[in-house]
Amino acid sequence: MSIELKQVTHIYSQGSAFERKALDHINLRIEDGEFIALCGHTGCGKSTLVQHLNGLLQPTEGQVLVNGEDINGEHVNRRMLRQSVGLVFQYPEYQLFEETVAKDIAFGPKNMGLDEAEIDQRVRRAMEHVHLDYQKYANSSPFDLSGGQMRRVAIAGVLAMEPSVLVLDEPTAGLDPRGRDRILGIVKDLHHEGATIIMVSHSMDDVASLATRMVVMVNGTIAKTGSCREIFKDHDLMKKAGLDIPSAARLCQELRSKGIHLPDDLYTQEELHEHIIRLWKEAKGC
Amino acid sequence: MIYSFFNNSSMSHVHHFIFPLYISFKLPTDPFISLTDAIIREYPHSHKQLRLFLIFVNLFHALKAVSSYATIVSACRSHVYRQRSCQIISMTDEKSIQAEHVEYIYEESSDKVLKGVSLEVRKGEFVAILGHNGSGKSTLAKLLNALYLPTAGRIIVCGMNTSEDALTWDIRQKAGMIFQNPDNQIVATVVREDVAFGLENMGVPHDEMVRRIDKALEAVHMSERADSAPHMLSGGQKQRVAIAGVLAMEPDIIIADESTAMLDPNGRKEVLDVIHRLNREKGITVVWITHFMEEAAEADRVIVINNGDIALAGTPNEVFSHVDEMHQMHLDVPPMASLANELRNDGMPLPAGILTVDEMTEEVCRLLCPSN
Repeated sequence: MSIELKQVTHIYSQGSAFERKALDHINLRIEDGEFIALCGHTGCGKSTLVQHLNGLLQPTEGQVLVNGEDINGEHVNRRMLRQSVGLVFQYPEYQLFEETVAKDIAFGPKNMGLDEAEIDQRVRRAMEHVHLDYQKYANSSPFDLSGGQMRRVAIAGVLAMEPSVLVLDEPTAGLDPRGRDRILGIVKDLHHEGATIIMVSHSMDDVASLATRMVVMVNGTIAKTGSCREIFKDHDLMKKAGLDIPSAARLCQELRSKGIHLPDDLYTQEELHEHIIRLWKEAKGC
Repeated sequence: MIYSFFNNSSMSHVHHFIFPLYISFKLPTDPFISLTDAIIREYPHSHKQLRLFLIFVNLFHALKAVSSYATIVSACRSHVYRQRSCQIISMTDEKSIQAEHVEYIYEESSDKVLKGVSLEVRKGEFVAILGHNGSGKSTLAKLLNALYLPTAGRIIVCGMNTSEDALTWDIRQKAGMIFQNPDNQIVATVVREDVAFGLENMGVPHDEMVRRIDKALEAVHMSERADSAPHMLSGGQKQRVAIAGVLAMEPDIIIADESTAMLDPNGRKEVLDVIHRLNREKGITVVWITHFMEEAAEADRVIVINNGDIALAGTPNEVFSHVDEMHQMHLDVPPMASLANELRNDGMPLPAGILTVDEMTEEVCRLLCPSN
């Protein structure tokens, strides 16, 4: 399922003293099966952009097309189009409200008007996806779980609606390394199963290990899109966008500036490890 | 007009007390007392009783003001006295925080969250506390400013035992706490007023309050937004306002529980710069709980909490050289420490304790360019 934004502009509180242009003529096309990392400084419009993807916000100008159809259009099945894009907000665990984990996850499918048996199937599948044991957790209160588990329940609630595009707004924020690895593992598996993923993230290390393409936003516009390798190489852009340069990429740059022969676009620890060992063995050999 | 007159006065207590007296004695001729005047003018002779009544009312207010003034003065004095006695203890004793065999059990669960933790934090030290969720590190933070009281053992903060009820407010003023979620910490509808909240509760004089608020907002780079509504700010900006609220209390210790977790890299860097500057220049002791290993790498000392006890403690270089142990506790090490570890495993003779890109660059260059 492809998503296309055409000349999308969004202005908050238009006509009031608080008027602010959050998106400025955004053009972006996301193909089926991509894993997009949406990056940028706080306030650059990332969250505003993702809320357009399932019709939570409507563009002040421009169009949002899902499979070629305008999700805000007059004669289309808006409900269907919007349900095909699942949005996991920042800190989604704050939105849990039901008595039991299973009921909370079932909330979305229920609203879709599915029958009981289908809802139960979907709840089970969603819990399996986020590695929560159905027997153990289905009937416990979501509020008795740890922060990381609560977040997985919230994600399961979105997965139960079986969207073909999953948008996650900083899914790992505030988690400890173990919780973070679990969530990223889940997202990675979903991508391998064919879902299109759009992930808003500040963590360049998470992005580097997962994304097939990066979209960098600055001040409500798209400054650059490209592979992680291309983007991480562009230190000026990274600085302008307020992004951390992965430390492996910085080390690569530093070593190059000291005259060590390394390619200019290394950004993962594994690559650097390999190259440094090779150079060291060569130096020892001489 | 009267309101602003009081607010702008540096000695508002004194004026609160003098002004009603002044009204009482100068009542018949005072042009400001319009209501009284009006009554007198309307009923010049027949309402002497009313006039007398008004005088009594004013005298009553004056007496009330005198008594409340006395209360304020005695409160301030006892406060100053307590502050001073606390400083004397700290001066003879370089410890800022001392936890002795601290245990903690939440009522509903029978497991000990903390199992006899003992630690000391020196005055002016920057200590980072690491541990995965559920390790007990947030519980420890809340014990340090008397939000929780130890089930066993004791905690001394600036010479004050947290278990003594009477000292709770002094401890919370001395040890300011910043939490993870800024939305749960903002109470006012204007940034400036939010920062003022703690000061108002302390009874800080108006001029001093304004000075401290301005300074605190400047320190977190939020001066320009002093009159904004907090809900119009981004998460990172809100967090900086929350930090300003603590800074305005001029605490000896700042305890931060994952306070940068919700910030972007720039926001995080700004907050860290501010905290490090306060630590360096004002000697504020910092207890910094975090999941970001690179933040811990900048601390004077790192304490790793695992299963309710201290698992590792030492300088960042010492702690992060235990790469495998850290991974076993589900914790990261800074990327350079982990890369150094892997290179060492492949036989490269790199020294222990590499944490930063600069240190790594230097060591790799030393091995790869023998001529230099």
